[in-house]
Amino acid sequence: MKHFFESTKLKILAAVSMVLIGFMVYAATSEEYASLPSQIVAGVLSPFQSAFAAVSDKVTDFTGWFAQANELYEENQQLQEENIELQNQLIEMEQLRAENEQYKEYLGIIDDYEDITLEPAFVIGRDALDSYYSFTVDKGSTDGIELYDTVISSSGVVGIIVEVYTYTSKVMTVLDPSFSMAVLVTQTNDTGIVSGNTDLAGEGFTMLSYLSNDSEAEVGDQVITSGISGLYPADLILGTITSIESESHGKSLYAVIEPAVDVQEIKDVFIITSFTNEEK
Amino acid sequence: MTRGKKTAIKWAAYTFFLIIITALQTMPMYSNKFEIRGIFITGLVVSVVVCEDGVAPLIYAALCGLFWDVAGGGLFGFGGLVMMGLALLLQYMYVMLIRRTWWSIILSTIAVTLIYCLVDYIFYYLIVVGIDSLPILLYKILPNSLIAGIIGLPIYFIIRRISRFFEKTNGSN
Repeated sequence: MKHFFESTKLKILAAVSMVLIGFMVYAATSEEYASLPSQIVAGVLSPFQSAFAAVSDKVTDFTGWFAQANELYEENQQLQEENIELQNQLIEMEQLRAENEQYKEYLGIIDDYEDITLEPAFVIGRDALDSYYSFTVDKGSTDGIELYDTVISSSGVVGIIVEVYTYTSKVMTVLDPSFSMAVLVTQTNDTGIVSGNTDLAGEGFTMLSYLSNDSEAEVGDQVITSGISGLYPADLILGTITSIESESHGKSLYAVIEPAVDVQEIKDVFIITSFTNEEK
Repeated sequence: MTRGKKTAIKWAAYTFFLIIITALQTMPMYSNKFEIRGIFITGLVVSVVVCEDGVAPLIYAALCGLFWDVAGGGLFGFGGLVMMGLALLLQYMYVMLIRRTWWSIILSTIAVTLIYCLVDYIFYYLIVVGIDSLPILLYKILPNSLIAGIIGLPIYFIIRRISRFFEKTNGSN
């Protein structure tokens, strides 16, 4: 043991430890997207992650086709019925839209619909130990991705970008307790903050906090982004209320939200790289 | 080919294997609701530490930790430091206390995975969330550690084969 303390091995290990501690300090204090050493490792890893993700996707598609044939048939029938219903709704909506345009013209209301720029991305990596299902996508700073960009799918909000490398980015999902987004309940216009919860994350649910005690929100109401912070666009679907409870301090209510997107299974996403009224 | 060149190729092979293993570990498994997924990196660390001597496997363990940091989203450098410390402990134990058998490889991989994941759990879940995070330990970390032990064995055979191949070619040089 005495020999070990005098050996070159210890000196090398001490030097490597200092370098690693340096990496940690640099990563923790760096104002850039990600520290240079981690950018290098991510750069080396990303082509292999993309290749393995593509293989995984093909295998899943192939095996899933056999395993879910019956399920897909029933789903197809159901979708056909839904399609007819939606077509009817679409006709109705078109009539309402035309009517709305007419009213706007009368009243001179300026159209301020948000102009959103989307970047499609593919999930290439997931951490085995992450309980909140964060994942890596194949788009990075070279594709115009920036920190805190909103990640969505065709169904709704998936999460936000929390780490940006040159060719890849890390997405924090709506199930993560560190996730926080201002929202409103469409039916009642009640506002609140959606944030993950460790207990609920395992079941695939998230939480809407700070609902006022006199809120009339109900189970089944839809929750959308309010866009009040200017960091995230407004009117993106986040999920549906599944239950409403009183907070332990009794001063407000909280609602359990079923996210519109199954973040555990998602493989294609869109990253909102810019939108009107964005504050960065 | 010189001995130094062969050693360099061997470590390059190990590094390439690390990249493959990391990509495999983070591979998204769609339509999979199971909490148990494969952890491969700890098996690789144990195998290299067992098959190689000196300070190189410890630096390699640090590199493995860094790859896991990037793939898993941890603080870059933290995993490297923990993994290097575990590798040093493991190397000492294999020199002083443990015989190299299949069982010792499996149990070492389970132990390394468990300790690494426990450190991760304490810093990222227990301190932040508190005792409510216990299900993560019970239903995610413990089963994943056991599975990692089983996965570690074929990784050990591959690493042992690479190591012996380069030992032989070094000998015949």
